[in-house]
Amino acid sequence: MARAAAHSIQEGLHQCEPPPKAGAHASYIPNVLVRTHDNQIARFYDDLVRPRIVLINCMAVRDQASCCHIETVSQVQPLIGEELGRSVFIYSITTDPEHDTTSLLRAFAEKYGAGKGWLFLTGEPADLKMLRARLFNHMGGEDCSMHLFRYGNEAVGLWGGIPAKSTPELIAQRLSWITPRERQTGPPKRGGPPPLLTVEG
Amino acid sequence: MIRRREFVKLGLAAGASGLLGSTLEAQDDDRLKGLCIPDGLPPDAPSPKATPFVGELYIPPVKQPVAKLDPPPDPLAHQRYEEFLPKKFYEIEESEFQWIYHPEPPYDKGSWSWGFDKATPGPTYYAKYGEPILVRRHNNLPPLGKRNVTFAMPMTTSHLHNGHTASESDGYPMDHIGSGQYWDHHYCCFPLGHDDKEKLTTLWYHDHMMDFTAPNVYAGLAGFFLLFDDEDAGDESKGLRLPSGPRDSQGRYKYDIPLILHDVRFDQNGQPVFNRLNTDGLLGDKYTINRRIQPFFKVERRKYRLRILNGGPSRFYQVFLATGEHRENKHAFIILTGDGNFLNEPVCADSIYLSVAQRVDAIVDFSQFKAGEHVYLQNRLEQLSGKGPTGRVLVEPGEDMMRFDVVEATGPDHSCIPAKLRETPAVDPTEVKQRRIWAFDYRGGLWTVNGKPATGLTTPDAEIEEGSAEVWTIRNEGKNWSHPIHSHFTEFLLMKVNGRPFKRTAIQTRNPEESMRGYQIEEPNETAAPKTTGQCFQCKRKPLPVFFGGSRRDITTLLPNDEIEIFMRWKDFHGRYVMHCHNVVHEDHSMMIRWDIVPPKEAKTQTESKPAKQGKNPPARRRPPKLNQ
Repeated sequence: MARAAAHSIQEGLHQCEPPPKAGAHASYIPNVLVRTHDNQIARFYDDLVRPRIVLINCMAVRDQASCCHIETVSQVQPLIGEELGRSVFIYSITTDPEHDTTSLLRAFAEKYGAGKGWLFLTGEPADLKMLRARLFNHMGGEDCSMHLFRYGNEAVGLWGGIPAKSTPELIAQRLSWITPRERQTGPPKRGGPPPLLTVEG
Repeated sequence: MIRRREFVKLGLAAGASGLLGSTLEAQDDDRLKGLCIPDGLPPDAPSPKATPFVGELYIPPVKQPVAKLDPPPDPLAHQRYEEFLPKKFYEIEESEFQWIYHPEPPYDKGSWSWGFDKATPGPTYYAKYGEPILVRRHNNLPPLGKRNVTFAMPMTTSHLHNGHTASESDGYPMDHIGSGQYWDHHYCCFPLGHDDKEKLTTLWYHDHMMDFTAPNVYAGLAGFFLLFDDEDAGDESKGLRLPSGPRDSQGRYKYDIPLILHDVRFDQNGQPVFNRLNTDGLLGDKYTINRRIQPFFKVERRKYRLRILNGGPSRFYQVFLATGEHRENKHAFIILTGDGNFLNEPVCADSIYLSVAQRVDAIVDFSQFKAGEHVYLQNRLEQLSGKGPTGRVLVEPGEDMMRFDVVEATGPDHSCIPAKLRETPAVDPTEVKQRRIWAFDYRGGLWTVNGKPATGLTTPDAEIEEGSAEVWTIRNEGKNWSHPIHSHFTEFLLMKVNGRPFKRTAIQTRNPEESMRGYQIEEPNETAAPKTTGQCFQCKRKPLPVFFGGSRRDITTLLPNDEIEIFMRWKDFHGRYVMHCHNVVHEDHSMMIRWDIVPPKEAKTQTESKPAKQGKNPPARRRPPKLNQ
């Protein structure tokens, strides 16, 4: 399944439509400045989100629970394959920017084997707070972003959420769902249900 | 809607009305005001104006069968296929099109929508008990990058809510197909255990794609599915003699009207907008009925059967019927069903409470009005965010959802509401094999059931023995949230509501003078109603203030801190199903469990167990279908 998910991501990318000038959530996702763990400054929406397929989660170096999720993310990386860093990106946004300095995040990224395309982000606390509020929009609770991963393809306007506790395979599968592919050609194909198997069979 | 303006006046508008509004507390951060917005649009622009009652009600046509399917269905793909050979075949298509929500600009140019057979709601199925059917559903939605409805997912699965359907035809969330594919749904059309008391009336079909139910249904993938039998026969001269009348050129009964409620928000070009990044739930600011904004509908001075369905995604309704310039006169409904289940006998109520996906068949006798009079279907339940209603019921004038324009009858009304409808099945404690508790809560961006989110539904949270019954406690752990909880396949028999016993014939209501949140459980005593056949039911005593439902439902409405105990039976099929919150935004953010029906095990004693038992896929008489992907 893992291989299939990664394969379908790559397969679909060649058929990507060029992104619209302003995406569906341009007025909604904050275009704040963020700093990556390798010390690049980027505009969150324009540079990081709009042209890419993304997986976004929140973390804090001092937060044990979020570290479990980081372990999961590290296992998603190989399933994405060589498109990680080309068209698919993973962003881990710190919820603890006062503590999580760029150098700390860089060490953290190294610890979890973050490859090209997996960026740890920090920035002004108020900016990050707003990012979380918008991406994990919810009326209450400070930790509202810690157990949910966002996945999205802003070029086609599609976003979803998946629990952080999901398996790496399921998360990679979600990324394949939002990867554009052509409609099947020819006559309609049977999608299901598949033949049932007897217990004996 | 009036509500938003009221709050603007009070200076409380920030974050008050959900859709694109930030949910940051107003005092939380003034930075929202200085947010750099690339296209300059305010975050929660209201929908363009649309004059009420200038668009006519859309009534979907009745779906017509085809002679055969090519290629034919695969009998080996369906449980009990040979036993329930389809007598009719249907082909239906999911596609994208422009839908006219309202005749005025900008809506008149069409709003990009998804639907069935190029319409939303899709066509209405008229099915009959004892007549199995097979529906071939084609996904012809445009693929990603080519579609105009950008917030929705062009992979689909379709649930018949709440059909007694084999797992592989039930619209399981992971049984999805992509554009260019089709799925065969085999609807056997027999009641659970072949027990007539288990029959249903008003069902609906809607998309159920994993993570994307809310946007896909909001985009338009929903329609009605009505089940008839020899009693509820669509005939005013025999059986229950409910209003139906002749069928028109599109197959529709003239006096049996399905009404699906959706609240929608539109951008300045009249295109529906939907914020996928909101986890609370979404509210629209335009009431639509059958996807027309505040339509009018000409009704004759006679009885009508209105099948009212809350199509979501997140709004709860309290529906009233009112007349007068200030809607100062209220008129009672005669309620026949709750969630597609006939009550034991009709009850009269001044209002109907509908949480998401709930439906009520109600009779309105328009002969009580004069020709030329206007009668308004209203919502008066206040809701300011996707979390759930506030509990406040608006006073006059309320909010109009549609207008009935009364005209003279064109012929005699032969319908007659019987004093008895259908007996509710009894709870039998000896059938109970298991008790389970399901607690609904929130944690870290997720909606949870027993502290856990749904991930890939790869393992069952409960294994239920076929032929057994269970008692489930459905509990809201939240003080601020409301959850309409729905379980597929089988209906609930309510045993207790917040600790109070609920009898088979009881009706849940609320005295508005006593409490915002508390319920009353009434034993209807329409003893003044005629007992002999041939006489028709009429409201004799004071109507109930609100109808929350009878004892048999498929949605338990959990308002904050509510706890409801239900009894359920499982028979006839094996495989995977789900229970979930029908605030579909909560469902999409993991408020869902998987339960499987498995073959009966060795006899064992009844136990009290904590739920969420993990296990491998069940061995079945036939294994449930494999994951599609």
